[in-house]
Amino acid sequence: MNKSIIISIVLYFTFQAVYSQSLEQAQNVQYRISLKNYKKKFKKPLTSKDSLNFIYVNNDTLVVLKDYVRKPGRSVPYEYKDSTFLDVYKSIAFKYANDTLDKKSSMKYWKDDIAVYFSESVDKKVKKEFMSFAKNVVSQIDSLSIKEVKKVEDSNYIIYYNGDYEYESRMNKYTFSDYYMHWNNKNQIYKLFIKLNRDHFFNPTLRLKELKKYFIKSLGRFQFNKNIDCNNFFSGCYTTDYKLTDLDIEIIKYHYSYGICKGTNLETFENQHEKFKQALKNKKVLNSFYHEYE
Amino acid sequence: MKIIFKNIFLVIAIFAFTCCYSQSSDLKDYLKTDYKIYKNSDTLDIVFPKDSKKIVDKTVKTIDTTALHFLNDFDLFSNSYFLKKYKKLIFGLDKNVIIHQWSGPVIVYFDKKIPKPIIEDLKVFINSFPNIKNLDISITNNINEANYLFKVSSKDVTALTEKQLSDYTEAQLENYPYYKIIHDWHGNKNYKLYVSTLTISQSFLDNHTILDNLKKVFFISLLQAKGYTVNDDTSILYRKNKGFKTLGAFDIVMLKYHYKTIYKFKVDFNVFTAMENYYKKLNNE
Repeated sequence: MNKSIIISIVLYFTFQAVYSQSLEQAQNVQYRISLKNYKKKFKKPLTSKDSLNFIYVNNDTLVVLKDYVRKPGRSVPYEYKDSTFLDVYKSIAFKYANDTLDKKSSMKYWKDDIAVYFSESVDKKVKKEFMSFAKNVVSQIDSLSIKEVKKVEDSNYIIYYNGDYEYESRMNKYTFSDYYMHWNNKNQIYKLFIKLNRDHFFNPTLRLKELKKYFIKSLGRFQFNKNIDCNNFFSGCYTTDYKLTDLDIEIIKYHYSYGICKGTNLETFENQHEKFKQALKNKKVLNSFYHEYE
Repeated sequence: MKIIFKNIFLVIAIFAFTCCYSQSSDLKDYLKTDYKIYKNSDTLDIVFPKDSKKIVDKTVKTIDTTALHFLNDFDLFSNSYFLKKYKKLIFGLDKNVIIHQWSGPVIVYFDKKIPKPIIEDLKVFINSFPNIKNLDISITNNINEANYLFKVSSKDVTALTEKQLSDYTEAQLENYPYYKIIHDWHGNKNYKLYVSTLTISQSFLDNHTILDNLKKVFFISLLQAKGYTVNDDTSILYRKNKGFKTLGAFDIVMLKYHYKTIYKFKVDFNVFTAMENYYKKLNNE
């Protein structure tokens, strides 16, 4: 199955695919949309003929879309998480502005698989152990994989040290270690550079540790949350080696789950959860997200 | 009259309780929250897409109140002399300074470019440190094991600005520990240090103050102190003390208090003051 899928927000239009429980695109499917959303989407007056296609479900008026052809894709049931988990997830996946989460900030994620290129000066031991660590983390994410490549042109994740060829000109004057991330208008990360200052991290053990930190952070432009317990990577309390806790892994897995809408800003994320949770609570309906194949 | 006294007593008691409670509450705001995920421990009833039950996880959070237990016997707060000196050394006049600590072993490596007599002198100095709880310092000959590097730079390094360099006399500058030495460090988001580099200007290696200044910078770096002088003649940071081979008695006390506990939360001047007040309430001072 083509993993390159784009997100189509089914939520907003409340399409419900019936007659089929299959997750794949079904042929005999009837699409319904709420009257309110029909007006918003199609912006044309409804005729008396249209009203023949009205269906009443749980006090909602739904319009059957007769000629609607949905693009090929995959429908994924909403992944429920409790509010305690969502609060901590939001604090890590979205950005802060002036001590409060920025409603307009967007979550970033990798759509394509990660292809890592190491500059020549990166130590063999560091390369080997970094890849082992990264593969182990990524193996827990269904929709992502990682590999090492030998040619820089085949890569989308470049690791180099100060003094090496400057792969990202925007980091030319950086004297500290950092990463630089590129994403598209869907908030999909498509290129990343890590530049490490080997004078500060003066042996392979220290460099490896720092690179592991950047790797986890770069899986989603994640922020540390200083309020969570120091056992967790996402607390930012790392001192020795990185061991991901259940919470850390769950946050990464959830970030890459297609049971949530991807690449949204915080405001949309919260609105979606509110609507989906209300549907669950009031109507006991588990809605789905439809992700179109690219 | 009795009733008036009773009322006054009641008001004082309420005030004391409120004050004490609010101070501990202030500190509780800084405590970390642990999140535990209980897998498949909750059930949601679903009608659509099909009548079923969906099993979901449950996240439970708890606040680590044990992080304040150390305050019960944090006797720095009952020693006004050392408390005053400690505050001045660590925070200076800057209330935004945050206490930084090493939470793991400090493993020192000396760059081979440093002259042997200097290395040997520094080794004697570091090895003379007494046992200090929560502060483990050792020296290694293998750079790959180290997290604290002493190295030489062929280019001159300084922590001073151009203006400061031109404003002070050579004698004044030589007494400033960071005149030709700099200290770079990395810490985590919990203000714990995990790597340090102490860089010495090559041109300074022959200076008669090199050893004193290196020892001072190393000592200050363990405290991440804002100050670099101390008005106590048992400290290596006392202006008149020169040519010391070991830490002074005052310095050991400072390190012992600094590492008495590894803070699990951010401690700046305000939090430190709240801790002090809370300690005093606990001990009815």
